[in-house]
Amino acid sequence: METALPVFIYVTLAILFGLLVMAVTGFLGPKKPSPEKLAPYECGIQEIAAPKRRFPVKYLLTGMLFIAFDIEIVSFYPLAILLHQLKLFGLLELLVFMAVLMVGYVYVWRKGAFTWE
Amino acid sequence: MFQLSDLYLLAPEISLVLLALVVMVIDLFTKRRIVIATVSLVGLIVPVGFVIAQAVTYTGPRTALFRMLVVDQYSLFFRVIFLIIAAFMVLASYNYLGKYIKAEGEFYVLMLFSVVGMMLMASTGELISIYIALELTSFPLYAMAGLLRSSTKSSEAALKYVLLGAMSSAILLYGFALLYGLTGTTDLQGIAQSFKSFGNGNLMVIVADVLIIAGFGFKISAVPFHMWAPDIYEGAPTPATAFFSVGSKAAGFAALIRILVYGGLWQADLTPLIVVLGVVAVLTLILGNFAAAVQTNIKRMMAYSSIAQAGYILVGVVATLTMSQKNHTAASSGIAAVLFFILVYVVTNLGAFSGIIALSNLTGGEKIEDFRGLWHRSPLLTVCTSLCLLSLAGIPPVAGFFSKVFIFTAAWQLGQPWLVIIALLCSIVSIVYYGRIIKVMFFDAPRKEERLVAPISLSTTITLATAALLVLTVIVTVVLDAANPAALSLFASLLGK
Amino acid sequence: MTFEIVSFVVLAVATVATAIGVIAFKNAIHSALSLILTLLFLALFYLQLQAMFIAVVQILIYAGAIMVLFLFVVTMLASDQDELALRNQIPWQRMVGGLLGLILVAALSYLLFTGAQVTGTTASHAESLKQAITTYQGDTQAFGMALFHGFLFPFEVTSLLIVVAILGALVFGRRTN
Repeated sequence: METALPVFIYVTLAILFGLLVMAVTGFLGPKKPSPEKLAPYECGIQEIAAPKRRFPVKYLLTGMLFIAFDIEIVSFYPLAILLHQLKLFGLLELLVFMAVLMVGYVYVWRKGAFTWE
Repeated sequence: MFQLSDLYLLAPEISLVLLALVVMVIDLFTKRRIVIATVSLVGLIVPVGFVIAQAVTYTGPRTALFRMLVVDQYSLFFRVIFLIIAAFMVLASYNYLGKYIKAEGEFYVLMLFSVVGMMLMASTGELISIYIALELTSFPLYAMAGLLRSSTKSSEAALKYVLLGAMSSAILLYGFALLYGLTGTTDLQGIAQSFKSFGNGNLMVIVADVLIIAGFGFKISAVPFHMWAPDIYEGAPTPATAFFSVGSKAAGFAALIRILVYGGLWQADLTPLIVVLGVVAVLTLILGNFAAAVQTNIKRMMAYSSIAQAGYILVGVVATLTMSQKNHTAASSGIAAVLFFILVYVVTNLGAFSGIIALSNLTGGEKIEDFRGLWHRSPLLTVCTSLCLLSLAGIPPVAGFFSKVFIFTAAWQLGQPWLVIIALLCSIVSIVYYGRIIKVMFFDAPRKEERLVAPISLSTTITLATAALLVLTVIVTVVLDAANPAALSLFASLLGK
Repeated sequence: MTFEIVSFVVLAVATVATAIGVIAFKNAIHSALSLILTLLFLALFYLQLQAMFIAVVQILIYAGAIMVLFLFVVTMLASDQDELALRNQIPWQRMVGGLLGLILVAALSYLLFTGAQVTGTTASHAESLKQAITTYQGDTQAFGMALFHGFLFPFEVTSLLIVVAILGALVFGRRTN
C-alpha cells in the first residue's frame, strides 16, 4: 500500500481536477443558446447529411488481433524481472508460449488479416 | 515440481496441439479440403497411441506439473471419449464443410483445439486449470456456431452463445473464488483435505456448490440453464451442433464430477447439494422430454433430447453423491454407470447427427416432415439413423438400453428410487418423439421417389457409429471393467492412495 | 486499517454505480465510458490489494486496448441504436428479471455474510499474498513466480486460448463476399 499511495492520491487529484475544471467552466461561462449555435458546425453551411451514420472501421480486425498479442507481450514483463531466478527454464517456457502464438500470427498474416481492402 | 516425465503424462494433449498447429500450417498452403481432413484424421493416431500406451502401462494415479495435471483412469476414460468425438467429427463434417462453409481449415483447427480443452477438463485437478481448459473448450464452440457467415440465424446463435457462455463462466468463477476463499487453495486435493474438517451448516459451502452447479449447468444444458440450447443448436452449422451436443456436455460432466467427487465437496453439507442437484435433474428430465415431444424442427428436437439425456446423467451423479459419505466402492458404481452412459450417448448422438446431416443435406430440409418416407429413398441411412434413435430412446437390443439400465439400477441401489421412477416415466415419453421420426421415415409416403445417394464420408461415419453402437452392445462388460476402476479412481486421493 | 476500509467502501460504491451505468445508459457511448470508469476502479481495487502489476495490466489492456475496440463497435452500430432501444417484445421480462436479480443478490449477500460468521473464515488466507510479496521482494516478482513456476501449466494453455481467440477474430472479422 505504501508504494501505491502516491499513485492513489495522484489519480484521485487528477480526477477531481478534471471534474473541477468542468464544473467551473459550467458555472462561469456565459450561456446564451440560439438555434444557430446548437446546430452541428459544418463550415457555416447547412448540413447535408445526418451525422449519425455507420462507418466501417477497417482496422477493427487488426485491433482485435492487437489485443491478443498485447496480452502475450504483457506476460513477458514479469519474466524479464525473474529471468535470473528462473534461468533457462523460464526462457524455455516463454519460447514454447511464443512458438504457439507465432503459428497463429503467421496464420492470420497469410490469411490476409492485415491487408487493407 | 516439473520433470521431463511429466511431459509423457501430457503427451496426448501435446500431440493434439501439435496436430492442430500442423493443420493450421497446411491450411495456408493448400486449398484442398481432402488434404486437411486426411491429415487431421491420420494425425489423431498419435494422441490415440499415447492414450493407449498410458492405459496399458497404467500403474496408479499420477499427478504432474505442480499437481495440476491428474492422470488417473477417469481422465484416461474421458480422453478416449474425446478422441472418438474428434475422429467422428472430422468424418461427419467433411461434406457439409465443402457445401456450406468456406473456412474449412478454421473449422478443423477450432474443433481440434476444442478437443484439447475437453481432454484437459477431464485431466486437471486444479481450479484455475479447469477454468482455462473450460474456456479453451468453449471459445472454439462460439466461433463454430457462427461459421455460416451468410445466415442470420448462425450469427444470432454465435452471439447468444458468447454472451450466455461468458455469463455462466462468471458464475462459475464466483463459485471457484468462494471455494478458494474457504480453503485457501485452488488444488482439488487440498480442497478435499480441508473439506474433511468442515461441519454441516456452513452457508458459504452451499453458495459455492450452487454457483458451481449453475456454471456447469450451462455447459451441460441442464434446466433451468438450458435456454440457449435450442436456439443455438438450430442456428449453428449442423456438424457444429453435433459437436456441441456431445463435446460440451461430456466435458462439462467430466469437470463437474471431478470437482464434486475428486474435490471432495460431498464431505460437507451433502443434503443441500443432493437436493439442489436432484431438483435440477428432475426439472431437466421433465422439461427436456416433454418439450422434445412437441418440436417440428429436427435440430430443435435433438436439442431438447440432449437436454433430457443430461437429466439421466444427473440422476447417476446424484445417486453417487447420496452414498459417497458411507461407502466409496458402492458410490462409485453410480459414476461408472454415468461414464458408460456418456460413452454410449456420445457414439449414439454422433451417429444420429451424422444421419440427420446426411438426410437434411440430401432433402434440403430440417423439418421432421421432410424426412417422410426416406426408407424408400435411402435404406442404409434410414436404418442406421433409426438404430441410433432407438438407442437414445433406450429400446432393448441396443447399447442405449444397457446404459439406461445401469444408471437406473445404480440409482435405485444407492437410495434414490424416486428419481428412478421419474426418469423411467420420462423415458416412456421419449419413446414417443424418437419413435415419431422413425415412423415418419419408415411408414409415411415419400414426397419424391428418386433415390438419395449419401456422400461416402457421411455414410462411412454413420455406418461406423452404428457399428460402434452394436459393438458396445456386445462388449458391455469390457467397457464396465474399464469404467468401474475409473469411477473408483476419483475417490483414490481421499482414501490416502 | 481504517483507511483501507474507507477506501474500499468508496471504491465499491463507485464501481457498482458505474457498472449499473453501463447497462442503464441509453446512449452506447455513455455506456462505454461508464465501462471505462468501472475498469479503472477495478484497477484501483488491485492497487489496494498491493497488486501493482495487475493494476497496470488492467489499465493497459482493459481500460486501454479493449475499450478502444468497444468504441469501434459502437461507431459501427451507431445508426441502428434507436430501433434497437425501442424493440422490447416481452415487456414483463424486464420486471421479472429485475425481481429475480434482486432476490439472488439478497440471498447471496445473506448467505455470504452469515456464512462468513459461522466459519470465521475471515481474510486469513489473504495474508499469504503479503507473505509472497515479502518473500519475492515485490508484487510483480510474486506474480511472476506464480505464473512461471507454480501455474506454468495454465499459463502455457493460455497461449492456445489466445490462438483460438485470434482464429475467432479472423472468422468473424473477415469480410464476407
